[in-house]
Amino acid sequence: MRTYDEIAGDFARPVLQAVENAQAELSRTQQDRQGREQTRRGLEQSLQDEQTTLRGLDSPQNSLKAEIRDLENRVRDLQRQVDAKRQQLSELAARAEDLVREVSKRRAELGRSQKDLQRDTAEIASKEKAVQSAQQRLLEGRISALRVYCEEAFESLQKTSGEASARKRFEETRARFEQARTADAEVTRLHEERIELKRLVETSQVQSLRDMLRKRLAEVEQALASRFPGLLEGPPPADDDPGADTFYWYDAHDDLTLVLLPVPPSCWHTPPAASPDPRGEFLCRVLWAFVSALAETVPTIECDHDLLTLELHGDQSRRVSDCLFEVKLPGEPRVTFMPIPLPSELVEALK
Amino acid sequence: MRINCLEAASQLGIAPLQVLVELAAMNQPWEECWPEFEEGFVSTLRERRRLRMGLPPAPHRAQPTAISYPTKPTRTLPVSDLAAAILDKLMRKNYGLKSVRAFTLTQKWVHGASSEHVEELIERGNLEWSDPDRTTVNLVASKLADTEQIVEILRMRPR
Repeated sequence: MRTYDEIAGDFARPVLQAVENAQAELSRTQQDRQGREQTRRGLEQSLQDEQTTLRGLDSPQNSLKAEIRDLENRVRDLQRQVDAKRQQLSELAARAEDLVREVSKRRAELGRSQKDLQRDTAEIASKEKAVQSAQQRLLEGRISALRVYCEEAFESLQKTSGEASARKRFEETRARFEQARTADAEVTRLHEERIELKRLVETSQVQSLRDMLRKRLAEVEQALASRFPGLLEGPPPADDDPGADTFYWYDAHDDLTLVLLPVPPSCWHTPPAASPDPRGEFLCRVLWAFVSALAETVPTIECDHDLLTLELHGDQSRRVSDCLFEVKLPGEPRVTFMPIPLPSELVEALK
Repeated sequence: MRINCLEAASQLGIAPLQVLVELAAMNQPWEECWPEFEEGFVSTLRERRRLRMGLPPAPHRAQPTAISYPTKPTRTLPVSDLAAAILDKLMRKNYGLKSVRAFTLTQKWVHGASSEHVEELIERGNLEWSDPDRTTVNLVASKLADTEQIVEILRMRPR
């Protein structure tokens, strides 16, 4: 038999075994636990370390986050700016397109304007040329008119002289007639008959009688005219001092004063040299009148533009303007040439 | 002896109408000058013109210049024809020492003349510039006799 102890031991053995096992297990468990505790502590430590690290990471993270936020803000701002710039770009592009269209339109207008301008310029040049040509013709015409004026003035001198001679002849005939009227019975009879016949012709009422009286009057006048030519026509019209103009001008470039002579250019080109040439006498009368009026000066005679002029050195305008060029003609008549300044445009044309 | 203005003009080397102007300026009655006047007036006119030009009195000539010149051998012009023509024009116009624009000389008075001919006369001493701008010239007093000779040679040359 098993003793109690044995039996107890038998009973106790598994328990003890179990206890031992349990203790061993407890020990193992405790060891495990210690190990786990160590692990846990290690983990905690690790956790702490991680947390420390994490905490250490929080600051740069926050900083990065802030940076990111800033960057994001900047990105947003930039985006907004980009958008705004895009908008502006779009507007500018639109404006640029408008401007391109406008420029194109303006270019076309400019092209047309330039063509118009060229056309206008050509037209203006053409018209200016025409105006210049017309002005030139006008000046030439005025110079020609001066030439004609000189020729006519010269002819007028001859005509005036002719009229004066005719008046002189008439006066001589009338004097001869007056003398004969008292001394010659035939002349007295003819004169008285003429007066009576003229009175009767005016008062007669009968046509046939008037015709007869007129016929007789013509016979009487014919008889008188044959003895006293020109008497019955009466005296030619008298013009005691027909005035005329002549021109003078001062050429500042050449420092010359020029006086236009009322003489035709033919006197210069083919000067009269012998008495049969009727121009000679009148040419002399004109030259003597003009030169003597310009006393103490020996002018130079020149022919330019077919105009005969007397040239005086220096500006003698005042002196010339004070002169009267009195051309004495055969008999008593005289023609006075009054010097007047030549219009400035003609002075220019004659330079 | 009486002479008409054409003959006198030929002897004096001036325009026939200038002869009449000169006679008028001498206060001669025109009736005594037209159609002819005393031949003695020719030398008077010559002297008066020389005096106005600033030239000394001419040596006495037994015969009129126009008649005596053709017997002389033809002399050569010491200047170009157009330069001589410029001097001739100044003498004909009895310009004396008065100044005249070079433009007037070359463009108005002497056809075909140019500034080169004016320069030629200036270099030779017959003309001188009257102004610092070199626009006007005048005959040189000390060269008037030489100028007169050139003009005489020009006038005596066969045309």
